[in-house]
Amino acid sequence: MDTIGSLIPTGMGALRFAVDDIAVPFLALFAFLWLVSGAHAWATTPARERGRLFAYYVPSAIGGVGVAVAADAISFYLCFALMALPAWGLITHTRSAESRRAGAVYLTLTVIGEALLLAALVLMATGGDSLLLSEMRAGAAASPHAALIVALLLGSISLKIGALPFSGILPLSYTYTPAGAASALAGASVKVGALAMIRLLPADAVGADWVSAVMLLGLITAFGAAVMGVLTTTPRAVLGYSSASQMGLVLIAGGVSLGDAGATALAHGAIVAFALHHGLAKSALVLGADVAAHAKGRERTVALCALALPALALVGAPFTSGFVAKYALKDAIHLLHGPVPEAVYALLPLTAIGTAALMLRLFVLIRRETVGDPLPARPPVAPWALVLAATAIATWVWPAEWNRHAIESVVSPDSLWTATWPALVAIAGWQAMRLIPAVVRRLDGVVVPGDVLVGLTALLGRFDDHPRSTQVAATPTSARVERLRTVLTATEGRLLAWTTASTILVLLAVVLVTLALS
Amino acid sequence: MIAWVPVAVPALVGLITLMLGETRGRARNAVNLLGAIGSSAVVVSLVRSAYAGDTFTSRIPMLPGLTFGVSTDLLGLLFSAVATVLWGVTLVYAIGYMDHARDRARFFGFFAWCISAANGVALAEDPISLFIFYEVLSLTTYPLVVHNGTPEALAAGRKYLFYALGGGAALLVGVAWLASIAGPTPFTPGGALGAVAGRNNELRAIFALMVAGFGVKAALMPLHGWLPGAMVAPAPVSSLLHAVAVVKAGVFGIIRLVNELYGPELATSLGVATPLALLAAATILISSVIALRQDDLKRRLAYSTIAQLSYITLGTALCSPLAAAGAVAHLAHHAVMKITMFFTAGSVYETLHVKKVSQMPGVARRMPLTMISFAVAAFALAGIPPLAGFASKWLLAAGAAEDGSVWAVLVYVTSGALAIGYMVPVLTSALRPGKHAPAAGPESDPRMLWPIVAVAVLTVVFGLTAGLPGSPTHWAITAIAPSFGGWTP
Amino acid sequence: MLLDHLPALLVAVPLTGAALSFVAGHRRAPHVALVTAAAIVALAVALVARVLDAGPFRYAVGGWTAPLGIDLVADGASALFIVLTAIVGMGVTLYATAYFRTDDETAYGHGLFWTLWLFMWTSLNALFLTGDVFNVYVCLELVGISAVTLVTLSGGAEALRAGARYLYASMLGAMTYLLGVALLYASVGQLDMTILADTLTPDVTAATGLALMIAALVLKTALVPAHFWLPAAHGSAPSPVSAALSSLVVKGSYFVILRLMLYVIPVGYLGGTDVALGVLGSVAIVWGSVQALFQTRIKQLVAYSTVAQVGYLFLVFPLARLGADAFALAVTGVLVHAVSHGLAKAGLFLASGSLMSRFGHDRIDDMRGAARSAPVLTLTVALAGITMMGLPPSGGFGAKWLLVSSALAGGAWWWAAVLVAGGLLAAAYMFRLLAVLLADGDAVLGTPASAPRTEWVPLALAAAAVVLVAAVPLITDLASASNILIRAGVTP
Repeated sequence: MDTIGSLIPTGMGALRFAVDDIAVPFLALFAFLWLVSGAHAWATTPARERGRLFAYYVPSAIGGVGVAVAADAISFYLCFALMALPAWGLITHTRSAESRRAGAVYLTLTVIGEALLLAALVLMATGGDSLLLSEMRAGAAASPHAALIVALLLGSISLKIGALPFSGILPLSYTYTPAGAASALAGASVKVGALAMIRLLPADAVGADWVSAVMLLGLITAFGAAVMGVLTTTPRAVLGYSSASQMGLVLIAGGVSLGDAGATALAHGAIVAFALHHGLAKSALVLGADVAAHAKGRERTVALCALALPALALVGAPFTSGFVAKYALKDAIHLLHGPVPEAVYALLPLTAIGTAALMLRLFVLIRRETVGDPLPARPPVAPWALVLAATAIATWVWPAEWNRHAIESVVSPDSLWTATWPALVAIAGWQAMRLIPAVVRRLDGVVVPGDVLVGLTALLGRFDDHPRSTQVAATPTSARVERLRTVLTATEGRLLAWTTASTILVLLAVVLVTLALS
Repeated sequence: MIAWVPVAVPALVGLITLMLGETRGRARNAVNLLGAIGSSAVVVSLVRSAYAGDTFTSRIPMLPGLTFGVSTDLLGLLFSAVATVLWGVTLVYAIGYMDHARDRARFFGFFAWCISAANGVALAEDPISLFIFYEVLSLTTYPLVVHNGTPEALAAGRKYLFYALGGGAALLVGVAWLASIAGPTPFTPGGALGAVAGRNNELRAIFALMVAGFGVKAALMPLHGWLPGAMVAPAPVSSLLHAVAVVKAGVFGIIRLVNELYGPELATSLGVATPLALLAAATILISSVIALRQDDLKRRLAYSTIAQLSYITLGTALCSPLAAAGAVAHLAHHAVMKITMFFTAGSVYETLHVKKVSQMPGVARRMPLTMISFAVAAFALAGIPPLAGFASKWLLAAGAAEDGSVWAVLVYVTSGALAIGYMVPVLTSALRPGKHAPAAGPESDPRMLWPIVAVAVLTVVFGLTAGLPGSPTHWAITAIAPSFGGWTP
Repeated sequence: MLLDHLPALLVAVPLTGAALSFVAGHRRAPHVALVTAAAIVALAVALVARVLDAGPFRYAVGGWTAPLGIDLVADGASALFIVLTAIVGMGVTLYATAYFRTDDETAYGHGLFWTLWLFMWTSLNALFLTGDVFNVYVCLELVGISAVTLVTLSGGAEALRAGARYLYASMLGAMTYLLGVALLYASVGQLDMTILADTLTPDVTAATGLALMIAALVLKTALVPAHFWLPAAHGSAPSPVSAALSSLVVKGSYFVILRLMLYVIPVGYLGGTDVALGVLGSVAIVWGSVQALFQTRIKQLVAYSTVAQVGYLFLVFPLARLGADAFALAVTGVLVHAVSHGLAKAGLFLASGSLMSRFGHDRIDDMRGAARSAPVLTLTVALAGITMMGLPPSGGFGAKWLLVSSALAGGAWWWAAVLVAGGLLAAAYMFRLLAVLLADGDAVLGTPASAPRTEWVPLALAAAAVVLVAAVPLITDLASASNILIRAGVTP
């Protein structure tokens, strides 16, 4: 292939894909989830709507899997866009007004995120004089625009993972989406943000205050999204906010990865751990909630029990994937010193209380939920079962550094207690809330999916596909022109009069003679 | 003399078309199509020669000390090839579109003349020859703009002329002034004004005048007022105006001005490039926002054109080799993307009488192939890889970044986001269920449908092959390299 | 050798043709006129070749030389104007053969047209060739009388009123001019231009005389504000006559001003006259264009366009004072302008005439849709318009380019601004007309049997004006061979 410069993509040959160390876990996760969720979606979608759904699902899946192995800027951006843009069709599949609104907000934020990503990629590529992600990441640290690059990347990642104040994008994306598609979005799509942290965020490029700020943002997101999630009224919305909350934890790891190279390696481990853990668990919850909602009697009870596994995993209960992920994260944070990392380290277990509350709320809502439209077939159990199995074992058996510490300490009473007490606190608090039913009733549904972002739709409405037509008013100058015309025509009429003409000639002669003699 | 062929053949075709008159439709179509195919073939062979290093130049003595000449350099040939090849495609479309229209002899005759003038702009070897073709282009476009003869069309035509001739006057003064201080200045990669380099204030004024002249057709704000109104013209004309010949003549003029008359170095040291870049950046952002609010599809596309043209202007004004190459590549890429969209708008109007975005529900089901083509072009325009628009936008943004103009990078990515903002509602509206039932037979006149598909395919092909020899991107890089002292990427 | 007598032949041949057409009767008169016109074209081309070959030359009529006899002077400028007159004259003659045939044969003055037209042609050729200021007076009178008669040829009340106005202007101009000549002669005792140029010394009487002569010529050239007679005369005459008047007759008197100002009169001799003429020219450009924009009748619009275009001719005088480069460029430019305007305006008037006869009226706003039924005429108007606006590749563009270059070479950008603004104003009124012709409408047009032949004549003239830029090198050579540039010692 003829190459004409390090920064110029040469056709399709320039797109480089590589299955490297970073790619393997993400490739496995994304491929598995897109396939399994797709199977669920296929089975639960009426035949005449399948074409419409999969016209968006398939490209999104291709992008979503390809992004894991994309090794250069162009293919990464291509896959990112290919995954994110068609997802609009998944979100708006039901064609309801709410789904359209959610789609508009999603698309707007996604497009902004992509713009930020592209800007960052361009700056990184020129900084590293290469299109290869690995070299670009190295080059970014040396670039004079390193801070800007990091800011652009963080902006883009925040929009993807729903960091505050954009947490609403996740519940908006899941609430109206068919369950299978929502599972893919929640399990795989959002994790691209985690992948981007590893692939793109340069180590050692910005100061320690950046590290602290990002960690704080992650922590605030972890708490804030949980609070908002508890106040919503649909299982899918709760799951959305729960994702945002969990991704807040990932963002803490992302913050750590901005530090020096040693911290970066651990942080990357934590990010991978969280991606696997949360991706599988969240997918299992979304699929399971759908199965449970359409099941009756004893089947429903069994389904709810099975749902407890991923729910406990999110809380970080012992022997679950969440336990592994939290351990990896703690190890990474522990490496850093300073007031903020230490504070975050101290407060980290408390986030599990929020998650636990979210899971309790989820179960309440699922039990409350009545079955909606009858489906052509009951949601299949097999895909969900597969995901459940993966949730249970994946993080434990994955050959890597990041789960070693968790495996070693899983039997220590200390760690077991650390992993358990937040859940107990949450349950206690939950019971306590029953004492004040009036307050609870008032708070129920205070948050609508999308929270502050829904306000964005008012702005978007002005640019919707029904804009007011802009008609040009008739020119108001015509009257003035007409007046001018009258004056000029009258003047010309006077000039043409015989007497004026004679006078003019005399004057002309006089003027010329005068000039000649002057 | 071969260098005159791309100019002469369409001119001749136009003349024959007008002489054939209204009634001999078959002969007219045959002459036009043969002319387009013939001159495309010649352009292609000229491109091959130019790649091999052979350029042909031909001049005619004109005014005292001045010649009127064309030269087949790679840069000019890029624009020439775009104009000539898309002329052929548009002809097929127009034959379908204008099937029942009146005054077809006039339409096709002036259409061919427009292409002739655009080729002249492309190949003109010095500012004066370029100016001459530029003015001829203004004039030959007028009958096309007012083709419908409605009061609305006449008003748009008046506005067009007001801007075009005003710009032409500024250009004339600039060109004449330059000639009076510098004599003949054939375009030379890297700049042709070495002899008068010291006369900075005069050179600045001349630059401003010429930018004012080219800026009208390049729709550089605030000189863009004519463009949205000119949408009243028939769709093939809008395609020609907005995608291929007319507006591109403006940006091409700016490309020549910056790269081959002043040269990037002089343009930078005189401090004239940065204001131009800022103006272009403002144009990009403002017109993109305005485009968001247009309900009339063609008007929306018009404002999008204004923004996209300023991509090219901005890339050129940055005076960085990569961005300059991106600008030239975008000239070709935007041509195929935007012509797809205008073809679609015209086809949807001719078939379903739908003009507004808000009337589009159901259109996607009724005209699937047409709307898929539109979607391809829309995403290409928004800079989604691997389509054409991404390749040029990448070069533009990377050039801006290399140059240290981070703000320009942000402008490019912002406008890409805005492009999705104004393009996607068209698609979402068309995708909604609406009153148009799926067609039983072909979705539209095949003479309109297949050109749309063809240009949409070009959009994909240009993107997929970007950077490979012969692709617009590679071509642009090769053509622009000499202006930066033999720069290689 | 016959060719040695070219200047005399150029006067004698049309004069003979005029006499023959008078006796030939109205049936054969057109043929006489066509043969005569063809002969004049051949002679004019020969004169151009001769001047380019051997430079300017004097020809003494009957062997008597100045100051006693009548000297004819043929230089590049006169050859150019004569060849312009020949080409436009040929077109007018061709057009007139059809135009007057279709009229009622009993119409007043019908048969007189050919005689008067050839007589006017004779006078014009003589005017371009004459070398002394008194003969100029004679030629101007002859041109004026034949022109006034031609205007009244149709015999309508409007034409008669216009003719009376024209006659008044013509007489007034002639008398003033004669008064000036008398003063000049009283002071200097010479009438031959070359001798005058060599001997003129500062003197109040001579200067007054020259100033009066210029004033008279300004009136005859219809420079604003002395244009009161032109719109009426050019607007109401039969179309072939309008064409000849607008494109040739005003150039006759202008040619004399050009020679007087730039050849005879030394720099600074008449004080600020040159700048004053330039200012009036600028005013004419603006005023004429604005009035043209407001006209509702097609020939009035074209006539006011002439008022505006005449203004350009006077910009040469201030420009010529800006140094050698500016001088040469300005003179060449104004010659190109005279030729291109002559061709285009003749085409425009003839096309207007055809439009009027096909519509049966002259109201612009009722001519919608003409492009559909009269495409050739519309194209003619468009091509002529391009020249009026000075857009490439027309001769008007060549002229504008040269004049703008002259202004810039002389460092006087404001004249360049006038030139550029004038082009835009011309665009305003020409496109007002074109927009109506291109508008959607279904005017029912009469199609005279002779329409096709007469319609190609204006198209050819207008097209010639549009491609005139190709002839600019030739005109440049002729300018170099003009006494004006030779005397000034500059070449373009």
